[in-house]
Amino acid sequence: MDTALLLEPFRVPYLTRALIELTILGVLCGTVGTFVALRRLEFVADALTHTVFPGVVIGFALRGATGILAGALIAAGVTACALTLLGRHRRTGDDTALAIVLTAMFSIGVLVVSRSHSYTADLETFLFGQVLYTSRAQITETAAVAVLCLAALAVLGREFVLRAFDPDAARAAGHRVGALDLALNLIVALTVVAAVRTVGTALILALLVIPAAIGRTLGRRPAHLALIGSVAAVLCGYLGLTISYTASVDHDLALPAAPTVVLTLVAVHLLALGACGAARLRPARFRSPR
Amino acid sequence: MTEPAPDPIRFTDATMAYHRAPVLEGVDGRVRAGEAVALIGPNGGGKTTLIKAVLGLVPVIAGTVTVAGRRPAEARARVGYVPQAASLDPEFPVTARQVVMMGRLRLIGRWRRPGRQDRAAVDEALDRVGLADRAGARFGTLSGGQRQRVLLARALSPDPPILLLDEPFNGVDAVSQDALITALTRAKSTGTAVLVSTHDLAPVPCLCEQTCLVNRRQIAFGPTELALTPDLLRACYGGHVVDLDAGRLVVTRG
Repeated sequence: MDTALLLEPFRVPYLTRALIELTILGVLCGTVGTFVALRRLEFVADALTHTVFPGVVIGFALRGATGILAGALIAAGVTACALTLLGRHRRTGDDTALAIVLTAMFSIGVLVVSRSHSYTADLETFLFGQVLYTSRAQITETAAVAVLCLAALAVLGREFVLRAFDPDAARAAGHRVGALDLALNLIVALTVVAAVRTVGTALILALLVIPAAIGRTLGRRPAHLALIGSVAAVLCGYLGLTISYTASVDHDLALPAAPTVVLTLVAVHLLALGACGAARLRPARFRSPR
Repeated sequence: MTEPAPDPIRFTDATMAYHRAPVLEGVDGRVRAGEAVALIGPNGGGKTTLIKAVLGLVPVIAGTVTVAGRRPAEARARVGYVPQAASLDPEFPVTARQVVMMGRLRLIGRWRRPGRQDRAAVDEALDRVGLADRAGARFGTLSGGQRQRVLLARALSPDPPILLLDEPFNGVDAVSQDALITALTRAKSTGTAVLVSTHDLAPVPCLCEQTCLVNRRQIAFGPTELALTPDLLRACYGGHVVDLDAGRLVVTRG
């Protein structure tokens, strides 16, 4: 591929907007995802995708397109608070109860969608998002959420790392662990809300988890993880869009943008794992016992 | 005449509880500045509970525990806590230096980046545990004993007047045990009060002026040479035989 081919798609305005949106989301999700990985909050992120879905659908049913953001925000905020409280008094049986509640929430979302006339199209939109329909207003909103979340991480990040690494020491030093947990859950919730219209509820988890996994494979400290994750997410956003556009326009092969971006991320993760595995096979490398 | 400074840690007939059920009763004694107290007893006997009570993380339902004359939860800034290295995830992506810097987080605050003074304190703390040359190593690549020393360096980095250590000698090699004892002895010489729980009795006589024996209640709290006797240890460990092995005390299963 020459550079003209790589840049050509982005002369189209809607693709430029999609690329800007995916770039902002890439930095946001790469960074937030690092803390999700360090705190092992994948479950929280997954739960959020289940509860934000009915929030989005009900918001849309009540207020149309403008209701989506409000519905997502309310659902995400309630979920973040509920999961923080549950995390403090978690017992084994809770997992079953939680799984039932989450799938019930998701089913409610599907039921509400099924009452609309354009059932299949709407469901697809909510589940997989509409990268190519990104508006200027949407970019502004996403940028605002990104600035807010990244600023919060810049201030609280070191405490989040201490809390993730050694919760007892964090408590012993007088850090308010419950408040920190709530803050991080809310940041993850806001990130999910920011990404929901672009990549849909079903693929947000991929954006939160895979870039961080790539960072974890290649990086050695939290700041490196966030940097590598962000770069990987932005790069894959760009590559995924390019592949999707080129396949659709030049080769008449319909590849939806969001899933292509996710699969690009998966491919890069596999490459990173392979590179890391090859490095480990080198015999000279010293590894002390665990 | 000025009031004498309050004891770093003082227990007055204290009973600690989890969910209102007493776990450890009748603890009475003090940890003085520049002295170390060994905390000895079987698993489940209340050693960790006692340490958490001093941190203000376990409620005291009868009697009192004071730290530097205050309630424990109000005195956390004066206490350095050293957990067991084995309780931490070795895969966590942090370097030794970053772990030690965590100890200065409260001093640094949320709105400031670590400055030259913080970096100097971290380097000095790592030097005190003999790991200055491993500062950039990933925490998980260090040996168990080295990880324990990094955690002691973390507690030392803000220079607290009180140190609490939970089983620091567990599964630690001889080199690291020596390094831990050297660092603790030096901390004592600058007036730091030390409370250290341990299963290994060997380091106790040379490190700890006092010993506290616990098993659900206090069995003894006093000078090490009086508290670390076979009779009291037998009472503490309940039926297990205590041997005097070439001047070293060993608790064996009987």
